[in-house]
Amino acid sequence: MLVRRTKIEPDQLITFQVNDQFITARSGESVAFAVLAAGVMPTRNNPVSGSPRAPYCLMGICFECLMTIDGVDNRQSCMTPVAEGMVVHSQYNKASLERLDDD
Amino acid sequence: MTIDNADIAIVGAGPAGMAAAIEAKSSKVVVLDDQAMPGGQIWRSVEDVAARNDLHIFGKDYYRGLRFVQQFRASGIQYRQRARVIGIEDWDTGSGSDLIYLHDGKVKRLSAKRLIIATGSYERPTPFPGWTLPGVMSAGAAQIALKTTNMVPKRPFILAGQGPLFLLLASQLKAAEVPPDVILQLDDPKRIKQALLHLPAALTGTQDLLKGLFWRLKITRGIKTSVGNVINIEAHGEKQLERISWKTQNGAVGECSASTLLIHDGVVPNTQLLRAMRAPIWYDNKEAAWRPSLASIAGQMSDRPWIYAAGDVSGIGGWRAAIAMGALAGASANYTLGNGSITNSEEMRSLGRGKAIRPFLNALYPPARAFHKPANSTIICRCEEISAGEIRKAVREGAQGPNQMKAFLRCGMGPCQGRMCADKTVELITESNGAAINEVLPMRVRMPISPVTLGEMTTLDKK
Repeated sequence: MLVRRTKIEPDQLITFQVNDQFITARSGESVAFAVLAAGVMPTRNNPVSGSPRAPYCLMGICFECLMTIDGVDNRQSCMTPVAEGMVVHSQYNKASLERLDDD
Repeated sequence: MTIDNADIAIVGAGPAGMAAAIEAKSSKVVVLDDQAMPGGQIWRSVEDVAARNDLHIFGKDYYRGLRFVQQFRASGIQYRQRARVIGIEDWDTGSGSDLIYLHDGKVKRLSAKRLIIATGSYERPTPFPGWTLPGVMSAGAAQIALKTTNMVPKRPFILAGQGPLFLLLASQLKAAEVPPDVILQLDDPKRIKQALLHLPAALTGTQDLLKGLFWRLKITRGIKTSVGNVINIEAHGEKQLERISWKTQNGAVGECSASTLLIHDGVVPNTQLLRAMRAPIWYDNKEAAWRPSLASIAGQMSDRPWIYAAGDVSGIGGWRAAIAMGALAGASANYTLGNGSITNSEEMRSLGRGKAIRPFLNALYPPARAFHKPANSTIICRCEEISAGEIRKAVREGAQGPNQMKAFLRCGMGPCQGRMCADKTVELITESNGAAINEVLPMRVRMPISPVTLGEMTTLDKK
């Protein structure tokens, strides 16, 4: 788990949504960091056993940080920069094609 | 349709990729990198860190990275950030190759006459009981969080590991005024005897040796609990990490509550793209890692000389060696296209100095005992939740390598595509059937090597 060393500078502050909760982030940082600093846990459940998981390597290798970002499942949250108004969900189930029908 | 062409395409903007680009800039060079800024993992976000006046936390070598990144930026080389290579086409034709990469939500093609693969390294996976629990992270993850967005691990936190990056991170966290609550040293103190045999060679890289010795001497300073000679570690918790326990070589046991556990056991070459193009790789027993088989000092592949591997991806050597290897590859690629010249005596000396300490480090820090011969219940493939016991059983039932293991267990077939389990799977196979590691075919990787949506895929132009 992570905590911020310093407050987010006002001109860098953005807000986005994680699991129906609004959290703040520093502009430009990846979703995974903001989510870890906000204490959101777990960020996904393993689709085989349902065991809780959270970001592990933060450099795009381990794929533990997969989340649903703006309606798309299995996004690597450590490689995705956060944006104002983004909607992010912990991925509790297997990735689904159903949501694609809405496009 | 316009075809995007380069004389030389470089994958990775770390020390090796940047050095290759600078050396080859009289050709048309394009650098693709999956992060937001140049620098690789070692110099990750160095421009941002400089802007917020935090360079002192990371030490002199990191500061050197700032100057190198500035030199790269000033060179006018085409650099595409957040560009993630997902595959490669025409890697076996003899007349250049196409990189397929994800950029700006689209899949794009870059055709190049020469390719330089500089994808660096990542931390050796460390299977132990409880390592999938939220709150357990690799030590590199904490370093990246500190560099990119000024975050530190939540207390109480434990740093467990061995090797140069472990020692460096301990000193950086102290400089950031968040020393670990507990440090667990996973190295075997007896290894110093074997390591000392390599000391004379290491002395030509004196600055690295002194730096490491300094970190090592300082490691326990300011730390409440520091435990050496740890041979076993376990993470416990229901929904997330709550507690860790450990055991030492002389039988002492301990435990403590924990919000975060950072773990580190050295780094291994990131060979994913090389495996995907079926480049020959071999297991180096001294480095305890798979490396590409290279035919020249410039890093050319033995079976396709227009493709180069440079930096840590070709074998762990650190940033100094990576710069030298990148420059050698860049000069050679440039020269074979009729540009520039090869005067590589300086790079060769620099490469020698950069790599001088490696035999010493390899002898001192072989893979940690804590992750050796994991218990049957320990998860090896995190994605598909395959345990060491299931892998051992599959070997008894006839699985001879990691590629058969896919068919037996789906081991290595989850989203990380074997990055976290492929090497440990081979190790368990050889442990069970007595084969030498190099007798086992390494896990095959298939493209795309990073996930891509069907929508993104449809944006790729045919050739």
